Amino acid sequence: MSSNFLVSRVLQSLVVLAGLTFLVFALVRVVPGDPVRLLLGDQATPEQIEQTRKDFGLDESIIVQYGYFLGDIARGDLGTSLRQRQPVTDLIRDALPSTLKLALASIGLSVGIGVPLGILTAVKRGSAIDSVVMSATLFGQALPTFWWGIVLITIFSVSLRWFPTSGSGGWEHLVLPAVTLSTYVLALIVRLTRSAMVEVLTQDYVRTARAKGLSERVVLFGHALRNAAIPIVTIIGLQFGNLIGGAVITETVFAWPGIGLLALNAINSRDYPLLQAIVLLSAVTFLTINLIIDLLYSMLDPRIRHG
Amino acid sequence: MTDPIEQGFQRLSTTRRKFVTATGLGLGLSVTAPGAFGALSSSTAGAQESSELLFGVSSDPVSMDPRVYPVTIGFSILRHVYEPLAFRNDAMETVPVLAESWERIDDLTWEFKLRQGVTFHNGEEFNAASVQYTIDSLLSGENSWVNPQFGGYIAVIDEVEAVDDHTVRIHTSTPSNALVANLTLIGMLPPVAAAEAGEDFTNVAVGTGPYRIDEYVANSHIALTTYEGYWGDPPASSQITFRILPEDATRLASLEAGEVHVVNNLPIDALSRFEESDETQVLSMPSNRIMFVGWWNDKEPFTDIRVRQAFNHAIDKETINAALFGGLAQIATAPIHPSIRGYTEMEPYAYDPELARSLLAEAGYGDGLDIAFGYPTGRYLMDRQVGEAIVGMLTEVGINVTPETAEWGTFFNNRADLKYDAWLYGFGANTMDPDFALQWFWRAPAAGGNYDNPEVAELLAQADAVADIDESTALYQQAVEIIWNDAPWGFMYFQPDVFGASERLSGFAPRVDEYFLLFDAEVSE
Amino acid sequence: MAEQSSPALADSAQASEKPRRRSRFALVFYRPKVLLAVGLLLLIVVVALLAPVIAPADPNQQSLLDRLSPPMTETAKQKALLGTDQLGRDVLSRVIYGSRVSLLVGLFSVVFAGTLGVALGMCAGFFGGFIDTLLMRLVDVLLAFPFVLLALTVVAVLGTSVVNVILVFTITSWVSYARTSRASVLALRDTDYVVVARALGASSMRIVTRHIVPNMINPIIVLASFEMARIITTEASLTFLGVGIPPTTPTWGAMISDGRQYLRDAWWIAAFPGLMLFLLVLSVSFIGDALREVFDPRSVPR
Repeated sequence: MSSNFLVSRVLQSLVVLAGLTFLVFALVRVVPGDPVRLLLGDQATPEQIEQTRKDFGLDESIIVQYGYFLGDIARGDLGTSLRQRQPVTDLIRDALPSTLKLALASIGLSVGIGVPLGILTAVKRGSAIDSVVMSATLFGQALPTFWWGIVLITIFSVSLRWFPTSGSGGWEHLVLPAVTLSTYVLALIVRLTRSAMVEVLTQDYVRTARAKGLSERVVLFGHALRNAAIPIVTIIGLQFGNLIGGAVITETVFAWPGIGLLALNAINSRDYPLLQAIVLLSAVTFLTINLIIDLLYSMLDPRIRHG
Repeated sequence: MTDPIEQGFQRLSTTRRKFVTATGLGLGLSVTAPGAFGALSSSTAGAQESSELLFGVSSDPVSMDPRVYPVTIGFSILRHVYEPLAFRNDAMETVPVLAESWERIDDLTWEFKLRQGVTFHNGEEFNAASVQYTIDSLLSGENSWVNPQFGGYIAVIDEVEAVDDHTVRIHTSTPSNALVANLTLIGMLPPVAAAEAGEDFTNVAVGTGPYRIDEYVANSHIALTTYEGYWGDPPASSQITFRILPEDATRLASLEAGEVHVVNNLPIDALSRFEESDETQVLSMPSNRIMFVGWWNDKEPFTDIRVRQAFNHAIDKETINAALFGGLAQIATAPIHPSIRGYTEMEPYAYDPELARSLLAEAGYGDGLDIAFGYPTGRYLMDRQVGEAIVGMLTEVGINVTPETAEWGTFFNNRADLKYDAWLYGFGANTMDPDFALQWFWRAPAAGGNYDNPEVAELLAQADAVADIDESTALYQQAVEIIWNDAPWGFMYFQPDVFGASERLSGFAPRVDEYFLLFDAEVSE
Repeated sequence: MAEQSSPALADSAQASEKPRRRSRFALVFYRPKVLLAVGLLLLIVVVALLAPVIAPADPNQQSLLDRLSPPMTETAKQKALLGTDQLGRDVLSRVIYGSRVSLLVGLFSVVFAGTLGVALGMCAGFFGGFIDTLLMRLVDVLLAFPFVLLALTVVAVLGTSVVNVILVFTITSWVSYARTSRASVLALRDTDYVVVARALGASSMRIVTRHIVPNMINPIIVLASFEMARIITTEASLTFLGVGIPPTTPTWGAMISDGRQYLRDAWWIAAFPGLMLFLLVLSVSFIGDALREVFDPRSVPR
């Protein structure tokens, strides 16, 4: 790994981002639905629609609009929400902390429980613990998010009253949405960790390490986990990227005021500037995380060369 | 420094700080947290002297500037903060609010005497300049953030003339009986602060109402506190927090868990549970929102009145009401609600599948008729179920229905783009005025399916213009009768407005105009 | 087991490999758990194929007055074994018909996306260089794009149908396979046995099929069985957004979605399709596990 690699990756990411801006720009406009008509409602006259379209700069050709859009981005201006009539940056800035909190909590939960469980089941494969955990992961992956969230609310908020049903605030508000959101990822991480560990544990060098009399702890964490880490890290990165784009369903069920709800509203009202900004935000986050993961690959596994 | 405006700005900055400092929502929500843990059971509530009312609403009002986003829920919430010149009381009579009285001086001129001693939350005085500024900011077309829909309500206004500090004359381009009713939708704004803030007024958000906005967090909540300088009687609860809870199941759960005291849009199927419980009550009333099956009256096959009648006879409104609404809806007996002036009772189209079949056969569609039928999901009460029920009923009479459902944004545009032959739609007349309630039959025909009857248009234009109210009412009744017999819509029912509430809530009742107003609402113990 | 520990010699052991795999297959698949899973899957497939024959009622036949009848209720028309839904439709019949869409969407999306993703991911990982860069950046673009928006766009342009829903899932989910398989290839590409095989003059194709595929099949099968479950459940949210399967078509996902409102008052609407979904996921996972053992040269059939 070299600084060359880093520079070329960053450059590539910028190219991807540029391509993405156009794709986003074009795609949000292909989706049927006219933001102006939606905003003005049933009583609007054609003249009003025309005028508003002009006010919003939507009467220009797509290419011209794209030019303005790029120019604005260059000046750090992501535009004004068509629906809220507020700067898009303000709206995102208000919603981002909630989403980050939820994403970090659920990834933390999934990794914190998932990786140890995966290792445990791999080491004790075939045991009763293994069967129980593996069956539980099957439940975890078959649960539709919205349904699971509502079940949790019914049990823990309505019946037991341990946690609030919804909203954001203290840690107690975070518990149910984080559990809901992490259930699927947790199940995925347990299974991936287990299968990666099983694979590594049967490799020669691990057997050799054991044969050399290295302690089981060193074998597990020094050799096996290190080598099993690649697919695990990949999935964590993918999921984290997904979460920043918004956990739409979880945020809706728990009335969690994050990017997901913002995005859903933006889609529903065809709020082009807001939608574009959210997609760009999630793209930048995603590309950054990807870059970090690729760097991690080489650290985890020196055999990976970057050509 | 004693200048009220200057003072206003000082207050303004405190308000603003409040908006900013309440970052962690910790303050607002720490009040609800005990509810979450200890359950807001009778023992823990009422610990403080100040009474907080928590209301779970189904969608976000989007802006705290009343000129940005016209949506029923926004009208209701912001009505606590901003006040119009006149408004309807519980009996739906138009009564003075910021105007003390009004009078029609001549065909084109209305004179309003304004209430004295009214101040905005920032200290600005309410006077003729406020009325002028507010109406002008809606009609000038210069403020891109102002939704033209608001200007549309009062498009008839030519000029607002300030006779003196507390008298305004509103000149209209044509005579209009509906003017005062339409002005009930327009909350008055402080000219200095609003002009200063421009697009940013949503973050300033001061009106003359009994509540001022403490905090607004998009997609989360709106916290209101009483305004000490309010000109009228202080409201019953000192604080109201609207919590935005879009998911039905969650909204209900938070009512059951005691985290909110009242919720709107209670799903009908959960009704019995809330009725039977000792801790909750159901408050319901048919609103004036008519639900109907729309179609393009100027396109085949609906140019044939027999087809339109067949659709009316094919839909079993009684069963929909009984099965899907628990009988809480009200079968339509006119295109407008009985509480609206100009109503005259008509005979509902009876459910008669045989008749529908034979009418279709007469019209030449005996071998079947292909119809793309669209209905929205999540827009109206039980919309998806009603839509599917209609699909079943139309299929029953031999119509070959292609059902399509979509969220509102897609649905709305598909309809406007003529992608559906027929669709499920609803229309609520916020102002309770017949001119507003019947506009889809002439002034805004596209929304009503391009019904075009010159006779009706003429009657409706006259009815709004004639100064004699009895004569106007008679004209409306004539129009209503013609419209009903023309069957331009598949008339169905008036949708109920259903709330679930804690048993301890009092002083709150649903209204036929779909507003929820909490001025007298409080939670006991 | 010798050929696995020194893969360079695997070619010479080729003759003995085929019978070995078959017996391994038998070993893995004759276990009761796996047999049960296969039986269950077959049963669901048969139910889906024979839906019109076995369903006691028309799945779209409404009867508003019989709505929300609990299981075993005698309604006007027939005995509703699993109750009726919010429009008085027979839940059992809808569950039976719903298996068709769920199976079609689940299986085809996974097969198409998996094939495409693994092929492209392997190309990227194996050849590296420009192809790798191009493909991975394409993956980034797709992954960075919100699923809902992509779904809305595809369906907006092509219309709503089962085929288009499969297309949406294929477009959005091949990237996971691509990334996962690329990561595995990267890890394997420079392992000793691949380097040796290459030095011995084995063709790229041969190296890929004989050495890389068997070694990366593990995470892919895990991913596929997860994806299948995810797709079947996500199909519900698509329907909810109005871009899924045409409405009134019975699908398990849509039934669970509709039923969430009735969790307390009419549990059976969501419970039975939910149970079927779980059983389907369960059998797919068990079969996935079994397949993995068959393909994975290192795992020891127990």
